[in-house]
Amino acid sequence: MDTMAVPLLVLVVAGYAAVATGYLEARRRREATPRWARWAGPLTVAAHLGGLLLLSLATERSPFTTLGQSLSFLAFSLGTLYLVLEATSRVATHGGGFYALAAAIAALSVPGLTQGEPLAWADAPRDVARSMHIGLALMSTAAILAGGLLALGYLGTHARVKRKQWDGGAHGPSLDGFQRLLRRASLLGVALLAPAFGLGLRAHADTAGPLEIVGLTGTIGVLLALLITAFWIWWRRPRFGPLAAWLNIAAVLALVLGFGVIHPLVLRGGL
Amino acid sequence: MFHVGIDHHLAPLDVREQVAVDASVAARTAATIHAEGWATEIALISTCNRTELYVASPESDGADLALGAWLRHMPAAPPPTSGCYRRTRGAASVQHLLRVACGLESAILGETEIQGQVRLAHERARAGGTLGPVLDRLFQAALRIGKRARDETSLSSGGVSHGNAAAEVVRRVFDTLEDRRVLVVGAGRIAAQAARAVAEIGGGTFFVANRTREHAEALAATLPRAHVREPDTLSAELAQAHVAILAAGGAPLTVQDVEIAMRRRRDPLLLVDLGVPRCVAPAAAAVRGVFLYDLEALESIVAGALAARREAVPAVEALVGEEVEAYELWMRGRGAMPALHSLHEWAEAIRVAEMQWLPDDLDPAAREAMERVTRRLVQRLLGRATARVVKGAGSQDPSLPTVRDLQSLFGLDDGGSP
Repeated sequence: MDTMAVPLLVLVVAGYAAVATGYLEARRRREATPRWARWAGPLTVAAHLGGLLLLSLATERSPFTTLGQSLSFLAFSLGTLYLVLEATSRVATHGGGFYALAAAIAALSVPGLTQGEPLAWADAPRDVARSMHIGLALMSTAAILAGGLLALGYLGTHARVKRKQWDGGAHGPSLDGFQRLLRRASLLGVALLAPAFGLGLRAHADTAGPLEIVGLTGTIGVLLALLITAFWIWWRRPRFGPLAAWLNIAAVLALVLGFGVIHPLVLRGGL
Repeated sequence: MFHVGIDHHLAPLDVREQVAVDASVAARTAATIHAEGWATEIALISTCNRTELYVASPESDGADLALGAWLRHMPAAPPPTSGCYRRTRGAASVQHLLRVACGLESAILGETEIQGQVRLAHERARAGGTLGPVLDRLFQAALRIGKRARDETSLSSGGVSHGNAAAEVVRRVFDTLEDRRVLVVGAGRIAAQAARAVAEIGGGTFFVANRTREHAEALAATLPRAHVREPDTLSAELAQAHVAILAAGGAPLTVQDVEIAMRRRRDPLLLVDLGVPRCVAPAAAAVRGVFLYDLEALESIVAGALAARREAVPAVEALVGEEVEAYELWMRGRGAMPALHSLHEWAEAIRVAEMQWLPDDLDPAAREAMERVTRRLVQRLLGRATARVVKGAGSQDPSLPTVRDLQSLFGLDDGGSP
């Protein structure tokens, strides 16, 4: 692939890792996030977007036609989602987790980018519905991962407040703030996952086998049930916040387990 | 520069009360002392913890003169031998005001109210015409360092009273009190302090319940959107409250009471128990959705905040040190001003004299251009020498010229005339 895209997509791994280190170190020292990290985060995400666009231009396909590209797009979605969260809430104290996860996912994508892996659907005609399905599925994955990270932050803060452990220094969102963020993250996950599922069924109804359909439907059904229940608790019964937070974490676990089913389908171009 | 004053470190409250003055008296006193003529600049700070006079004076015994003026104009002031006075001069005075402005000298370490009081003293002195460049620069430095200490260090972080600590817990749970109900049970001093601190978060509707209705009404009058409730409605109010501040005697709330209050409710409940003996059974902390903070828990928050503030003291002292050094450099640079002024006057006189050699019928535009060019030439010729002399006066660097070098080189006498 004769383009700057791949070096750029590899380089952003270092960017995410550096920013994560800055955020995590500031949190460890109970200091405000350093200014350079606040700038480097958006710059890395912008560079990542540039890399994905270049890739798309070079291949004349969507930037998630291979597993490596999909992971890179997932890391970008997570980074973008975090930027929105940071701009609208005091979540910066927990930014290290987001950037570290983005760095890890982007790093996992590197072998798929650099080894010249053949495109899964290189020979298949362009299909807008399939592209939208994959894009929405990856973005909903980012929302679910963000929900999991926020749920961890909520549980930590809840435990400290409940046990009266006052650590001083800058603190992140209040329990109420976490509740609002998690409610939105759960809703976003549902809002993206449901159409992704529908588009997926439509795009692959002819090619996917019954077992694949059942596995996919089961995974998505469990995810939707967890997210909808979590959303309802965050919305109507925030006093049961820890339970809802565990549901968000369970959704991440279900996603990871479900990936064992979806992954081979993606590799085979069955989705 | 001199400072004389009484503060909480050396004087008990009854002495501080005698010398505390309000804004108008402070302005009048400063103006009266200024009119005596021995001081060029005067500023007076008066708070509940300190009354201090800052003076710029060319007199070498300015500290004694300041104390004498203090005793003359403050009839209730204790005698000089009382041991209540703090007197400093030069850099020590500068350092003292900077420490005061940061809150390092406050009764509550890092309190920020003092910065507003320093600002008021500065404005009052300026309005009263008793401020000059020396004290103006000093007060500006004090306000700047106070802001830096607050923004760049943890000197003013956290709540350091039970009320502030309670407010911090409320923020950690609810962020704001918008659309929240706060129940205050009791109307004594501790309950009132906590309720007012929580009210400062903003938003929220307050409900005050107390055995003596008049006391409840008096407290409710000081709170925003406050209503009085009868004590027998406590269970119903608790079921709807988001925050309950409890500081009244009587039978404590049991775990069962709290569980009943938690039934069918949407949000968590924060119980702030300020009572001794306690107003809530400690086991209620285990109820799901309940956060219980008693006096012990609040005191540990206060202790943590104070520890964080104490940790910041070395960093703030370093900031103060930098600012004192910068101020001293500026003051020493000011010492070179008379000589530099004479030098520039001398050069200007030469320029004007030489300009008279221009032909009388010279075009006005050309004359104007010559004026500009010669003025600029003088400025550029003397500019670097001026800068080096100012720098030399403000530092101990032997490689830089001193005022004496300048006087010797240009034949300026001690009075500054060439």
